[in-house]
Amino acid sequence: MTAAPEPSTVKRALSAHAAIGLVAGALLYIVCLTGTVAVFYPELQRIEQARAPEMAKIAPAAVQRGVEAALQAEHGAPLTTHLYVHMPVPDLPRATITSDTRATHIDANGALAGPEEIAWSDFLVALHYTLNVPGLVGMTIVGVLGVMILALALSGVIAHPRIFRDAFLLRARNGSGVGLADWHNRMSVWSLPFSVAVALTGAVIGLGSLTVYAMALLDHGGDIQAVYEPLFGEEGKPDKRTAPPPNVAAALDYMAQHHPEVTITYVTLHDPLTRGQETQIAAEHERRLIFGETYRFDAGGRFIGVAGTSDGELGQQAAASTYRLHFGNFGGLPVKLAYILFGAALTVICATGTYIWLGKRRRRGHDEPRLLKAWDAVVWGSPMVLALTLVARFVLGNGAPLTAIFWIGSLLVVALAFAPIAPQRFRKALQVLLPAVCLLAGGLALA
Amino acid sequence: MPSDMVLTIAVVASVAGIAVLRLAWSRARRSMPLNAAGWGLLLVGFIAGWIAAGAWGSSVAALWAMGAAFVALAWAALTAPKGKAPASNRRVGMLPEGNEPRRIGGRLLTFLLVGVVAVLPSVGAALAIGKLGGLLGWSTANAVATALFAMPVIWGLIAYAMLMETGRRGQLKVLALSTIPTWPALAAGLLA
Repeated sequence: MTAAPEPSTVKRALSAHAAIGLVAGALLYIVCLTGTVAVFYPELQRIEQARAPEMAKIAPAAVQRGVEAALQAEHGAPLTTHLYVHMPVPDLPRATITSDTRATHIDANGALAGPEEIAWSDFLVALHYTLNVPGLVGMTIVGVLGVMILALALSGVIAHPRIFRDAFLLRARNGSGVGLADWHNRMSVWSLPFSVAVALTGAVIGLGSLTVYAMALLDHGGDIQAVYEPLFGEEGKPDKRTAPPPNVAAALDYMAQHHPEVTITYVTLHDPLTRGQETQIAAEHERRLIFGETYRFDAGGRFIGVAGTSDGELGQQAAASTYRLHFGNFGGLPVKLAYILFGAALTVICATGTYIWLGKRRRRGHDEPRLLKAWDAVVWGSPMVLALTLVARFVLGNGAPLTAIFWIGSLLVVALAFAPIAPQRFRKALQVLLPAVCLLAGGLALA
Repeated sequence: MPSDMVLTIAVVASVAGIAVLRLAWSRARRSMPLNAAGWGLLLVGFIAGWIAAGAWGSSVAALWAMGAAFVALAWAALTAPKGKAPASNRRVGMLPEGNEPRRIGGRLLTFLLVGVVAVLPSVGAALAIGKLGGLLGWSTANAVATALFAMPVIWGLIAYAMLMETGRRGQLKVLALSTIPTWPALAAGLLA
C-alpha cells in the first residue's frame, strides 16, 4: 500500500497548478515582490524622510500638547472622526499624528514639526495591499491572490509525489531545465509553512470584509461594526456635542504606572472634541503575535477596560495575530531578515513557475520568444520600474505620480517585449538596467 | 523551566529535525526510524516553542527550521555536480498545440467560475461554520474568527477541486455541492 497519488491525479494536479500559476502569475509576482520589500516599511519611512524628528520615547505631557496642537490645526475643517498618534518605537522612533486628512510629525516637546512625507513607502504598501485599485475591490483582488497561493501549495504538493523525498536534491548546475525546476520545487517545499502562513493571513485580511459584510447582512441588519466588536472591542457611544480635548496624558500615565512592561504603539482618539470621545491605547506585548492589546479610557483619562486581544477568547487572539504574522514584525531584525529571505524565495518561485512552463513548451517544439520576453519584462521590469518610482520620489518630491509611473512604466516594458529585439538581448538589457536603477535610487536615498 | 531555555530547546530541536531529515532522505533506501526521528524533532520544536511562548514561540521555531533547510539547500547548490539529465516536458494543457481549438470562451468561463463565482459558496460555508459554532455554544468571537479563517481555506479547496475536474459538468457539480452548507445558514439567518 502506498500513500502516493494516482498518476492521473498527479497529472490533473499539475494542470491545476499550472492553470492557477499562469493566470495569476504576474500579479502574484508583484504582490510577493512588494510584500518582501515592505517588510522594511518602518525603515523605508526613515530613509524617505530622513530629517523628521526622532526620539526614543516621548513624555505623556508632550503627547497631550501634540494632540491639542494637531486638533487646533484642524480648526475650520470638518471635525476628524479619528486622530491617531504613532508613538516612537525601536524600528520607527518618531511621533506622528494622523487625522482624517493630514499627518504631522511632532517633536519630543509635542510641538508640530512639519508634515509626514512618506508617499513612496505608502505607495509601496498600497501596491502590495490593493495593487493600487481603490477601495475594497483592490483588497479583495489581493485577498483572492492569497487564496490562489493556498491552492497552488496544495496542487503543487500533489503534483509532485517525490517532493518531500527529493527535498534536498538541488541539481543547480543542470542547464537543461532540471536546475530551474529543482530551485522552484525545493524552495517551495521548504518555504511552505511561510507561504501558507502569509497567504492565509493575507487572504483573511483581504477577504475578511466580504465575510463580515455577509455576516452583518444576515445577522445584524448590515451593521458591520457589530460583527467586528466581539473580536476587536467596542467603541464609545457617539455623542456629537462639543467637548474639550481628552486627557491623553492621564491615560498614558495610567499605562506607565500599571503596565510598564508593554510597548505603546498607538494612541487613538475616537470622535475627538465631542462628548462621545474615547481614547484607546494600543500596546505590544513581548513575545506575542498579537498586534497589541487595546486599553480604553474615557475623555478624562480614566481606565474603562481592555478589548481582550491579549487574553480574551481564542478567536480574538487569533484574529489579532493575523497582522504581525503576515508582516513579519514580531521579532525585531532577525525575523524581518527571515521574512526577506522567504519572501524573496516566494517571489522567485512565482517567477520560475512560468519559466518552467515556457521551457517545457519549447522542448516540445513550441518556441515562443515573445511570451518569454513578456515574462522577462514582468520579472526583471517590475522591480526596475519599482526602483524608478523611488528615483522619481527623490527627484520630483512627495507629490510624484508614483502609481502612474509604476503601472505605465510596467506596461511600457511589457509592450517593448513585443518589439523586434532578440530575447537574449532584451533580457540582458533588463538585467543591466535593474541594478543600475536600484543603485541610482540607493544613491539618491543616501544623498 | 525558564521560558528562554524551553525556547532554546525548540530552536535546537527544529534545526536538528531538518538535519536528521537531510540525513534520512540522502540514503538510497527509505529509513522509517530516521524519517520518524526527523519529523518527531520538528514536532518537538513546535510544541516546545508553544510551551515557551505560545504561537510566537512556535512561529520562531518554524522560522529556524526553514532557515536551516535553506542553509542545506544553499550547500546543495554550491556542491551540485554538472549534469545533463533531461528535464520534464509534461504537458499541462494551458495553451493549444498544433491544430487544437483555442477554447478561449471555455478557458474564460473556467477562470470566472474558479476566481469569481466560487466566492459565493466559500462565504456561504464560512457563514455556516460560524452558525454551527454558535449552535455548539462557541463564543461570538470564536465563531466569527473561525468563519473569517475558514472562508479563504474553503475557497482554496473549491478552486483546487474544480480544477481537478477535466470536464465542465464535473466543475459545476463541485460548485453545486459546495453550496450545500450555505442553504441552512441562509435559512437560519433569514428566519431569525
